[in-house]
Amino acid sequence: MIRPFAPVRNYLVELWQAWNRFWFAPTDPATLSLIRVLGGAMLLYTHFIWSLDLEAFIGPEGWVPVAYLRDNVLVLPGDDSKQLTVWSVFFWIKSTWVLWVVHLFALVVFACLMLGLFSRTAAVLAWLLAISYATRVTPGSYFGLDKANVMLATYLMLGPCGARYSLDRIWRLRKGKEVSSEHSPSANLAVRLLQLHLCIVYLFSGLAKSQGATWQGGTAVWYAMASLEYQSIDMTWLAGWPLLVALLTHVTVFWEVFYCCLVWNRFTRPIVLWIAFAVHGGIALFMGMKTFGFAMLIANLAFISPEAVRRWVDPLASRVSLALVGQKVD
Amino acid sequence: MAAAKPKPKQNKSERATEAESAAKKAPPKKPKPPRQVDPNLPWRPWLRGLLTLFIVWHVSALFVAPWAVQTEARLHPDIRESDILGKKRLSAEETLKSIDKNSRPLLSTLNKVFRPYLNLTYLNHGYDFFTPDPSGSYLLGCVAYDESGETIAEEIYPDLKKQWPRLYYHRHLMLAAQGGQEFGPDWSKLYGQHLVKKFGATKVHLSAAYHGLLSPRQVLDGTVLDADSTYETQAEADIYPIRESDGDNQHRPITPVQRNSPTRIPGVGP
Repeated sequence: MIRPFAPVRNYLVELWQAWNRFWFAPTDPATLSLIRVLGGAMLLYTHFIWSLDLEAFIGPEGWVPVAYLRDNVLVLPGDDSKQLTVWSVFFWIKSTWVLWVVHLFALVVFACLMLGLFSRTAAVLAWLLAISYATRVTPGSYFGLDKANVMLATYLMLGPCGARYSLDRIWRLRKGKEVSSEHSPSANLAVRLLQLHLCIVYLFSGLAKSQGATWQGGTAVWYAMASLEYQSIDMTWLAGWPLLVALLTHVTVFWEVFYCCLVWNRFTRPIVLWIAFAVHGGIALFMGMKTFGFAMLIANLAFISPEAVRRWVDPLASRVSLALVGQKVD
Repeated sequence: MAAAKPKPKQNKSERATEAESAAKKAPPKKPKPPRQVDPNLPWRPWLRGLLTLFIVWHVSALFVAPWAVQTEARLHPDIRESDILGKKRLSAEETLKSIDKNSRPLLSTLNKVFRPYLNLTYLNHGYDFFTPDPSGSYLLGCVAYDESGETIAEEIYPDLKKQWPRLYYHRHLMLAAQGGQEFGPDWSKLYGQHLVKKFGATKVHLSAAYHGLLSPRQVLDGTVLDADSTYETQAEADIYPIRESDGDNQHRPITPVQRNSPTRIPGVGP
């Protein structure tokens, strides 16, 4: 008997199976846990910096008063209705002492996330707090770092980010509880979403660059490096190396546009990730944006397999746990 | 409504007989086999289905955000801002009026659908780093005066010497960059009032300068990145403390600076 729809049905069944494997197959939480350690450290440091002039940047008055944001910026263009979904804890804080209490609480939360203490709760709180800070300084003094911080916090809370390399794990060990880190579907889901998010970031960044004359012509890297306010190392020697500048410019654009395709293939993935390392490392070292560069590198760890992470991090984690509880645990 | 009539009480032997006859009628119940959990897919299908909906929603939102933010409403294709000789045909106001607000019907709709979710999660932004082209930086100069007209503070934002660590400096760099871009003419009022309070000044003179970039050729010819010629003061404003009686007119309006005016701002240059 001829079944004309059988190929379509088979296709759909296979598609559903592949979808399930991609998103919901359990995975070792090592990669997510490493992202938690580094992402938590990044959140802690970058939010600590607000302490240097907290009231000016985050307080109700300061450079950009909350009242001004409410009346002018949070109003949709051509429509007087306010964007009620734009929110920040700091929109409701009026007094200085409450501001400082919330800020100190936030720093404790970020420290807990980094150390893996009450990891899942800390991850949810860190997400809420990271959004609060970022929204408060947007517009005003935000930049790519705030987007990267929130991106990391978003996905950390979706999976068991404290399953490895955490005080939670050592705590369980001390209490004599089971410490094996089972493979988890939510760890996979969190890492997959971070991977997809990165692909979208690079795609749109590459598409925007491809519209610029200097990115098309091959001189953009020079102009980025020749900004005195950005540069942290004098790179004006590049003026005598136009071919090198052009190569760096074109590689950057093509890498960004095609990241979303090439990063999935196991043969091209190492190349794509090494270029990510070079680009973001370059931004960190030469363009004065260490925090942004490192935050994006931390996000790129999503493409490092848990096996590779364990090979590199487990020996160090074992030493730490040996020192703390007298027993090796990764 | 009448209350349900209670069943008459049965004694023990009656209940036992009834149970025996019911057991004879009903086929023997098979014990329910335990749910087979696929170790490769431990989550139940309904949960995976629900999460699939979330994934589709979230990834679509992630995609729409930069797409909508990075593409702006454009001029109608037949309208040219300048003629063939490069002469400006439209004023800024006319250009704004000529923008076809309906040029992005799909994006506008998608943006409306996803905007609340994107706002709540701080994902409503683009990723246009150094685009469409790297550009120069903005600097904010500030001189604060006391009642006698003496200078009590002279600052520049950003300032590598005073703002450390680097991230702290970078936040000030962003403040200067986003001033005019994000707040329009209000930037001087906002920043100025903050500085008036910070220094306890009776007047603050603000100047916004653009620090342009040099081409490789200019650098090879010996021009240094902080040459005086690379700074252009674009606007200046005097800001005074707000008094109750002042209402909104607490400062003089921002003054655009002529292109050939002195380019020095406090702390910049030799």
